[in-house]
Amino acid sequence: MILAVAVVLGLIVSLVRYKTQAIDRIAALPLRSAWLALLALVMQYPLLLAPFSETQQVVLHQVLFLLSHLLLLTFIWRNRWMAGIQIIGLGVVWNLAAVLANGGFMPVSPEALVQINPGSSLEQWPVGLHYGFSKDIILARQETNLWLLSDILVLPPPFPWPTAFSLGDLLLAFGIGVLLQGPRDLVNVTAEGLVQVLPFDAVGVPGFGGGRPIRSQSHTSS
Amino acid sequence: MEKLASLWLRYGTVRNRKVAYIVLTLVALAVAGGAPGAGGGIGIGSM
Repeated sequence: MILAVAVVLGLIVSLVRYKTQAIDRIAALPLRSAWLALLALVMQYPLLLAPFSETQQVVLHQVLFLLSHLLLLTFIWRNRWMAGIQIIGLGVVWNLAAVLANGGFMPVSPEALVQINPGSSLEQWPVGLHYGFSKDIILARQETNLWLLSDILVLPPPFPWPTAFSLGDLLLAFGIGVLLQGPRDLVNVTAEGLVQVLPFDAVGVPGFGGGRPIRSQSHTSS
Repeated sequence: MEKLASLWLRYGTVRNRKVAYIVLTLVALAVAGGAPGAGGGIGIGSM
């Protein structure tokens, strides 16, 4: 939820900065193989729907969750030249490192869970169990590998969606915000091998109108 | 139904559909790549 909120915030910032051109800028994002990200989410869905349980009860869910990272990393690699994707990629790798270092789940401490579940006590969050409707496992700090990359940041109430999240999540949210500002330049490779780098403000989105006449020159690729 | 069709004709442009697909992809990327734990659980009492 918190990361979906980041998408909405990124959209708002884009609309404030670029007003009517914001939609054109987002439409100009040349994302390749977007279906990989959508399929990765579908693969993670069973784990995200699994309630509070022993980890042995969600083994198949966990395998799908781990395999989905192959799709995510492929998507990131295919779009790696965009600054926003590079930031997102770093966030995904940090999260994956914490997950792999802790048996295939993202660790969260009982103390963090008490903070985001007001009224609960430490006894309600026994270590070693899967934290329901998430990718998390409850682990004490001293049992957590790569503790710094685990869900150590907390947004407690009165925030409407109390959440524990990681530095990787923070990077992801920032990267998505950067992406939603649209591309800085439009790059076009012609049939003759010419690379055209056209400042976005000069051209708008081809075929969609709203841009000013092209003023930049094309450059021969080396 | 007619109103729905007219709304689709007005807003379902190629550009808007592309923006919707990109935003949907970014939401999927955020949810699949991130690993936050949300509040609202009731702990061992829910098992």
